[in-house]
Amino acid sequence: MEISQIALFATLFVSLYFEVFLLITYFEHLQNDRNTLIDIDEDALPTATVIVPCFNEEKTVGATLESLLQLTYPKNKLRIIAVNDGSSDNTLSILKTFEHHNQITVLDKKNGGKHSAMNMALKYSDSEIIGCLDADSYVEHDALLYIAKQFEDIHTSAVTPSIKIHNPQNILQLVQKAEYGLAIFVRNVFAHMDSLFITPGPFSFFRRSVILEVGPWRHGHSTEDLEMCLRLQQHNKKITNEPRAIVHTTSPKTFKALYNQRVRWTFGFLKNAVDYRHMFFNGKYGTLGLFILPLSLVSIFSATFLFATLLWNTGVKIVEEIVRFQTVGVQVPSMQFDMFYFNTTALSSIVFALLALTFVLISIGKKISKDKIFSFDIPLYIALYGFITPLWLAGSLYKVVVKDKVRWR
Amino acid sequence: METIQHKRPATPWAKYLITFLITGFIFVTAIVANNYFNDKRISQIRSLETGISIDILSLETQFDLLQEQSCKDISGKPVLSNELDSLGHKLAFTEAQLGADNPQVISLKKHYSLLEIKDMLLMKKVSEKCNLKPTTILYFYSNKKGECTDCKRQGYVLTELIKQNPDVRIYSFDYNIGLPAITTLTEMKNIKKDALPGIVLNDKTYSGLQSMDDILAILPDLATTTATSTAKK
Repeated sequence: MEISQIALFATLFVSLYFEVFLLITYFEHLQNDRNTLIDIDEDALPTATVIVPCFNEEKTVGATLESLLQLTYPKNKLRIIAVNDGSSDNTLSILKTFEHHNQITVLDKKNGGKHSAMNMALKYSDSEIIGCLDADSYVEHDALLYIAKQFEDIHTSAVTPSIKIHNPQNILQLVQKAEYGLAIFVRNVFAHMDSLFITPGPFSFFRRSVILEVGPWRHGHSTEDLEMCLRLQQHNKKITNEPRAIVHTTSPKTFKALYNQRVRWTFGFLKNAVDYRHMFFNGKYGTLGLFILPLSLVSIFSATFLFATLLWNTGVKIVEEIVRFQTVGVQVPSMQFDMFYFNTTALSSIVFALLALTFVLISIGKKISKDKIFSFDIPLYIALYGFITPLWLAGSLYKVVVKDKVRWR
Repeated sequence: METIQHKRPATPWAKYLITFLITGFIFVTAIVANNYFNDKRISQIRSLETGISIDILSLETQFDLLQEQSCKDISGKPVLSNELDSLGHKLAFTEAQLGADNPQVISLKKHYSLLEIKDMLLMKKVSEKCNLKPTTILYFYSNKKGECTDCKRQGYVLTELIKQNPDVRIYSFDYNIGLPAITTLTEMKNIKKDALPGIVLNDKTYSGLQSMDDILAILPDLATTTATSTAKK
């Protein structure tokens, strides 16, 4: 067996191991999830502030604030602080049209990045829990109630929601829809293992006292949500997930926009991994330190290798077909079916098992976030995701090694 | 609302182990299943080879027994080329799955090559006795990396040719199979290793890639059939 084949099988083994591990953990906690019933005592609900940092969000911020105003939550316990972070478009004037709402406060500042907007708003808030909502996202009316319920547990320091793609229209957005479905599942299972390492921008909430204890938001290599979460984990803070708290976020429509977003995320992860390297392979941080963080890092390289192999094999097949076409012209494929020619290699069976399991995990993610399980986006994801991911993974590695910085947009 | 210090759950070593066992089981199952299906394929090829071998022997015996009177019977018999062609495809697929170095594949290929030679010789005898004029093509190739860059293209051409002319008998031989009979054949037909692919058409040897047009120019009878079958499409 060649070295490349051994590497391929090792990569597939690790990938399959990871998926099986997630599935076992999910079923391990299934009963607990079923028992969590919503039972709201309004008086016991914590006071909450939602910060909406805005940088050139004139197209979406209005709907974002409207969705926050529709939240089912006691009016006297909810405050919304919208921060204009030096936008050069009409964002500020749109924000000002919301100032007449008692719940909404509008702040204006020079551009300094999302973390600086969050920290400015933090000074204006004395709520017990503080959350963020990106100005291109919209919340479902009961999302905050589900989130607040999680803070009844005094161990809980932060809560993450389920994020779905808002109104996916093209193939790229449908692929992202399935990808977010998988992320809902993964986030839920990671929370059960005390292993969340991202508190996503759209509607993650933090106990204010904890933020004051661990310190304000940092730039975090343009991924302040990842840096904050790692810092909380470093301080042994409990971060949970509430899959029924649903947020819809606008997704990139073009490949270029998606590429830039994903390069920023992966770049941020790699750079923060360096900053928090002491947590890797460190038993003090449990499954997060021993398994999830190292595997997430390795997966960037292994996914690049796996997909490069896939691309190479596909390329070889395409070249073969071109040569065949050049030699004998268009061929009509034989319609005869013979079991003899059915592909039964170990490699194809393992890849099939991996894809089937991915399908199951996405379906569970959709189920726990109250979404339709069977839809066209999952096959699209399985067919296409492998071909586009290596591009931004390779792009991020290049930026980490050569350029050392990324842009938000 | 205050938080108290959170204690992480203990490392779930048992779960790591169970996951390892399940993943290992999936891998082992995939490998065992693959071996099982490959064994089935090899035994199917072996049984095909045995069948063809018996058919050839039976035809030879019948031919020897009846001599000239048998022409009508023999020419009415189903030709073996289709079976050999199908066997060749299955063998090529198995070779791609198991690798050209697999001892079972090499053994099957040797057997296949001998069957081809036997069939070729028998058909020659039958043709002479019964005044038949079958079109026979001998094709010598190599699967070794860098030894024959045009063999793949030549394979495509011949596959297409037999598709359009099912009565053509194409006998393909791996130059490196390591069989004395093949070595003798390559010497007889003057096939050189550095001039592969080598093709023998009407007892004349041609080196290098022969396109469909080249072959049809050498075998004009086929051109008519090919044109007819193309027109039918």
